[in-house]
Amino acid sequence: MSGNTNNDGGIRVISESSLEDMGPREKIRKVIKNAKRGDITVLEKQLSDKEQSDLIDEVMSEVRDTKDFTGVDLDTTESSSSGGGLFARFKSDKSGEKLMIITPSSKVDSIDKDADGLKVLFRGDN
Amino acid sequence: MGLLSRIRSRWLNIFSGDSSPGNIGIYGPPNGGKTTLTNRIVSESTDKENIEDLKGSASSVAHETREAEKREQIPIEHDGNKVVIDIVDTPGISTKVDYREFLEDEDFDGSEEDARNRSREATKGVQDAIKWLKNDVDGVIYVIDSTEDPYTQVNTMIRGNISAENIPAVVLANKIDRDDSNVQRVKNAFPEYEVIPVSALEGDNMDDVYKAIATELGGN
Repeated sequence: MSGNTNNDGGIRVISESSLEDMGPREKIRKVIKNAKRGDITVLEKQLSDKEQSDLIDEVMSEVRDTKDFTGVDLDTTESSSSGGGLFARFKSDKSGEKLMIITPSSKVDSIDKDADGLKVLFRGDN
Repeated sequence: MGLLSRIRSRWLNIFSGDSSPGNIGIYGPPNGGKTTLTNRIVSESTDKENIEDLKGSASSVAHETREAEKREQIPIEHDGNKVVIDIVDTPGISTKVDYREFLEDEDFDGSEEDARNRSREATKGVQDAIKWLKNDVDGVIYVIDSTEDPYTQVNTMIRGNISAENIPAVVLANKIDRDDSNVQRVKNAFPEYEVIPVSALEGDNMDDVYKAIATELGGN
């Protein structure tokens, strides 16, 4: 067991230039560390698809080993109404133009998105 | 060799009578109907006496499939074309697993400790599904619940990984038997594929699934 998560929460924004200085493992470790602390992470440049799958892999290990950590929610600033399919979003290779948000699932009910951006609904919000 | 040629070649290898059966992974988010689809394919393709041994356990409980389950030597026939495949029914890929959601599910009748154990198994299942996708599947049948929003980050991520690995895939818009099914929304999300509307539960349009496997993707 890695121990309990604590309940402090904040928003941590990581700039694109900082992300470029990090390797994939470091990005993932930082995002998970923030989530376990109850913090929301905003990445100025989204993780690649491979990094996202590696993130999920690591998150699952942490869920298994950490009491009260239930995982994360993640999304990017791109509207589902903006046209094009998932393949176009992948193929366009415009990952640098998207923000990615990663939230601790224990604190967040859902992440809704529309043409204007993302809306994080916290648990207990009306 | 171009991408399309590689895809075609890969499928030809899978469906060639001279090669061993390919691993076809059934992928998608939790509760999309993957196990129901797998059971449907197995039931309709296998000798009756073998069916129960090959079926997986499907229910409304999320993460019911907690490890990749392989059903071997499944014959698929359509219009005289016959191929033999191994089907890998994978756990739904998710970014979170909360044991309390098991306890809240009316179909789950275990204790809190049972829920915690199931949660731990589910996390391992998600990891296994990702590992299979990266290393062991030759083709993917991606099952989407057509009553749900397909524009999720997990769908985007899996789609990207499938493309990056050059894995051939078909998309099924499942649960068309439900009034709130929206097949067009799935088609909009996956415009590069032929999206096949199906009800794995009722067996609707399964012929189109077999056709896609045996002919379109088989390259005949």
